[in-house]
Amino acid sequence: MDRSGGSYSPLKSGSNFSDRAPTEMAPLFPGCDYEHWLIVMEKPGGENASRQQMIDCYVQTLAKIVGSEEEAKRKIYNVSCERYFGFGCEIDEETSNKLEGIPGVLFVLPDSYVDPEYKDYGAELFVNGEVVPRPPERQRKILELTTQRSSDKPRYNDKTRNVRRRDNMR
Amino acid sequence: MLIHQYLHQLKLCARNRTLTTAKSLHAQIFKLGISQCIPLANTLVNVYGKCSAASHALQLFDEMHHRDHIAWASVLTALNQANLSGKTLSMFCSSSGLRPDDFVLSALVKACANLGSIKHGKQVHCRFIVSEYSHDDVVKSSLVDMYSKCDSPDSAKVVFDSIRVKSAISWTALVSGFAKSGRKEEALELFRNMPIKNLYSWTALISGFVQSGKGLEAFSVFTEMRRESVHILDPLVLSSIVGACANMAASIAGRQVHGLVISLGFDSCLFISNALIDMYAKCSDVIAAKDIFSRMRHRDVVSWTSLIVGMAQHGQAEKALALYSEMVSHGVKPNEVTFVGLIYACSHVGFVAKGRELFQSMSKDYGIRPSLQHYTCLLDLLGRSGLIDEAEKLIRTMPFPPDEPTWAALLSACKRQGKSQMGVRFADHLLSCFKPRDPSTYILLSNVYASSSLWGKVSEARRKLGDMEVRKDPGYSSVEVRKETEVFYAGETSHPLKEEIFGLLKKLEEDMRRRNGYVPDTSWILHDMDEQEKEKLLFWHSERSAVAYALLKGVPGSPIRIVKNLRVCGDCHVVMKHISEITEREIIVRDATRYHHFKGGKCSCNDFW
Repeated sequence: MDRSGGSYSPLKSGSNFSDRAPTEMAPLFPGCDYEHWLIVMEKPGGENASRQQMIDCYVQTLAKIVGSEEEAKRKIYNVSCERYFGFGCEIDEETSNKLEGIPGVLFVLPDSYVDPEYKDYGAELFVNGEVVPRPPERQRKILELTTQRSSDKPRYNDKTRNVRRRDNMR
Repeated sequence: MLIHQYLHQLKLCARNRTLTTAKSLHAQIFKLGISQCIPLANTLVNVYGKCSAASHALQLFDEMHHRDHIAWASVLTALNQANLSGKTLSMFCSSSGLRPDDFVLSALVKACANLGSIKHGKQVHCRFIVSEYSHDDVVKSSLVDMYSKCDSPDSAKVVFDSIRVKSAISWTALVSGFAKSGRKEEALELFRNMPIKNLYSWTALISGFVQSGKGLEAFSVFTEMRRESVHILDPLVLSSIVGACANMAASIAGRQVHGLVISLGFDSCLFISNALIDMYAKCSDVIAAKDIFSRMRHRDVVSWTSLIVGMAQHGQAEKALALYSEMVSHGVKPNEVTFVGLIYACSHVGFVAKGRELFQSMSKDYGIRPSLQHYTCLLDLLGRSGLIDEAEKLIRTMPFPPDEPTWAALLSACKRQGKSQMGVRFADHLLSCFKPRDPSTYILLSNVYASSSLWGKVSEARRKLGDMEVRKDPGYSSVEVRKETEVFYAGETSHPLKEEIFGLLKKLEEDMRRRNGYVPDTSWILHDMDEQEKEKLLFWHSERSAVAYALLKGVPGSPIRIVKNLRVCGDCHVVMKHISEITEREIIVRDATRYHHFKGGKCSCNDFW
């Protein structure tokens, strides 16, 4: 009864329980189609890089995988140089896996809409190598959807959160 | 009561987990007609969640007219706490456009962690980064935990590094992640760098090592923990260490830990008792396992199953089946593992009808779908009993693609039953469809072809064995003698007692030849060498040196316990039987696949491979 594959062997200790694999489910967020990927980078362009240097870094990074900077510029659909450093690109899952090992790449994550109404992935729109502004109304909406609102509904005074923090410090 | 007074009372219920009080407050609130007041409704959902009454929380949530973020966060958290994380995600999916805030994100990440679903975890992580909450340390901490649980400690580390104020919980989650992935140096380094270590951190490190098979590291950390007098308030670490003993069949250490369990007062703890039963069974001490079992006041399915499997593995099939009857009469429902043990037991004593019956009962009475293991045991049973045609039909119709061990079992049965044509057919299939990884499979193939005089194929099998990349673990056997464990490797040993070991083995061999007509079976050596060299190779198989050492140095009359990393070869199996008869000692060998109790010239496995 040797299970060299590593699945249950009566000779292997460990739990006596049957492990339940997660049920296959649809993606959690609209726009998550595994063709659009958010690539998060660390210090793109180096310390104190300018916006353009960061964007160049994004293009160069993707170019390493898709073959050329032209191709990379075509695939990138948004860039972010402020709140987070990264870019969105339209590639398939297999290609996205290749980005994981590249130096400077922190995460390769499946992207989803920030504004589902306009099927917009947020950040700054990037079209054929250029940052393109949105129509002002849509831009206002995107800003609203991604900024912490101080004038929110009265915050539920959940002290348990602070208790959690206090526990952590002990 | 005014609303704020109700709120205060409910918060107390949440903190103290008093469900009954919460329910009566709810009743009052409902009768007053204020149950749709948003802060009250939210707090109620939260309270029910914290009191582990997820269905109440859900029901309340469903009835709410207005659900804000707080309501969502509360109900999703409640589902997580009730181990219904699948529902957490599906509920969120049906939330039609709810933009998650930091609490909801945290609950979603925790759900992904509970389910081990890194796919969904990454989706949430992406959402988190682009959202306005992307600096939240609590969500980041949950992400560290999720990546760790999903076997991606490197991603966990990246998130961890971005946390501003690193809590003990996130440190522990990170250490746990590396330990579970078997990355011991990194896990240890992180652990040493932790500013504050508590019992949970030690436990995470130790149980992570146990889970990734690094039992020795687990032990060394546990010893250090004892030395630092860390107070063991929660016994999880003890059950982990017992698990390590079970994995390594370390009965000496196991007994010491058992002693510790008793002295620390945890011997009535259910899951520790279960771990102890399993440990003693794996250390081939079924009597001790039964002893613990009978003294337990409360038992669950794991307790019964551990003992049943233990008995089954040590050739006590009838006892295992009797225990199962008792289990059923106590109203305890068996699980998958129980049936693996039972069918395994049947296959050892040729109880074909019973085996078939159990296999049917599994799905019919308990709704358990048979897994590949169950099919393999059933095939073993049919094969051993000569029902090869039925076995072949089964292997072709079963819903899983049979793997190498399954085919090897069938092949072995053919060989034993002398069905050479069929055997050759299976052998061809095995050789062409698989790249067998176990050397004993090649030996089996070679023997099957040899018995049909297909010398060309014999050479092919031997060549393929040679082509196989050099095995990294040589054969070795460890034996427990008095307080120590000695390890012997295959080949001529360089042990200080080499002369005595050689002398004893030679003498025993002479006895065997004379009394029992023993002749070394060199068909177990596939390498190209002459007969004498083959015999010498067999002579120095590690389990024989181990037995000789135990006979020389061990307590006279005591059972000899050996653990071998590979399968015992056929010749050694015969030799062990003879030695047990000549020396009148019980020899217990645990090899890579099963247990062998050699006593009075017989083996508990009934000559199984």
